[in-house]
Amino acid sequence: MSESKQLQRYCANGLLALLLVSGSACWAENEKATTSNDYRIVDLKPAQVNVDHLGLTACTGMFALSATRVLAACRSAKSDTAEDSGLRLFILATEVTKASILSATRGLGDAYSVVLQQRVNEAGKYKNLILADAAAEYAYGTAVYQLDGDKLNYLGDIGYVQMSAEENAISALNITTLQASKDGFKVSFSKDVHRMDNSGKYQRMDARKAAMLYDGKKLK
Amino acid sequence: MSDTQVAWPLVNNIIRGMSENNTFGMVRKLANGSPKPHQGWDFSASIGTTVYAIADGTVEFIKNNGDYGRQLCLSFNFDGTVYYAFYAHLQTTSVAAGAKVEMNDAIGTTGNSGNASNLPHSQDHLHFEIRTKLKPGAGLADRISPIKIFKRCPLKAGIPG
Repeated sequence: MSESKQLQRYCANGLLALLLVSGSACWAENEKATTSNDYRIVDLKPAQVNVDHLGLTACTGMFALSATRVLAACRSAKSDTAEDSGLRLFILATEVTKASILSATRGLGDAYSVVLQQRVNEAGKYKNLILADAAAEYAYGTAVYQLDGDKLNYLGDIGYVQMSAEENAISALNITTLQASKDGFKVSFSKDVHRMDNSGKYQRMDARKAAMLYDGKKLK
Repeated sequence: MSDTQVAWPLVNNIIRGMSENNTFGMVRKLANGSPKPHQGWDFSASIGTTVYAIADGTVEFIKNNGDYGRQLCLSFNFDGTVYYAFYAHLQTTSVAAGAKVEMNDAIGTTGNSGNASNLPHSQDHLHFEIRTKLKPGAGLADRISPIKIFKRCPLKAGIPG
């Protein structure tokens, strides 16, 4: 198959992770970005990998990062401790008959589910980010990881949510924009958001005041 | 001492996993250690377990949406105050909105609807809240610990209903 036909097929399949390397122009069709600083939202392609032999259970998401790498959100009872438990993100190698675990994050605590989103900015210092939007009976907020080769480096949490008409906290992912900055990236919101304090009460935050910055050290 | 009688929502009532994380309050945590509230009690219950009205009252609404999944809200009077028993992640409901029910009437079955579908089956449960308003705020707003109604919590040992 010619390279151009391969690219067309990958674009059609949404296998964008491969194209991040090739630098293909088909990004424009599959990803949402408004300025050159904006991180593009990558349409993650669902994957199906048998992980029974790895002891992974209750997977809430499994996506192809490339032809041989899968991002999965699963539970692993053998990894759980009193301080570190719950859903984890795993990078799996799938080039051999049985998948293997290349890396895993800390557990996401008491969250029931996690929605994964990949955002990419080739010009940014942190080119490839994975957002993990956690929830139980309501949205908890979003953990941010840097996809660094076969590892996920935890960068921090975006602790903001939206409030539904029924006064239930829901994900803020669809109103969240990431833009590359000098040392990291900025997080901004297109609408007002809510943040929970340590007593369990929500504070409404003006969208402009809620903006966050990852400066290479901390997301704040 | 309360004069108002209430019943437990299940035949066998025990907090899921006998874990404080499944009781009421700021009992949950994220990976970064930040506390998160749990708005009620989670009772362990395999899918299809019968759910009962905890008191004489009125079915205020039945919904099936969002992270709570299938929900039933029952208003009842307790010591002269109206409260709302809120059952979530249900599989079925066997009464209609507006129905008058009596304590211990079967009103539905437990399930794993809503976000509970992402939990392993070993964690199947009834999410149960006591609300002080029909339309409560977010987080812990307008909710009280069920222990104020039941007077004891089946955290380390089950309580028959």
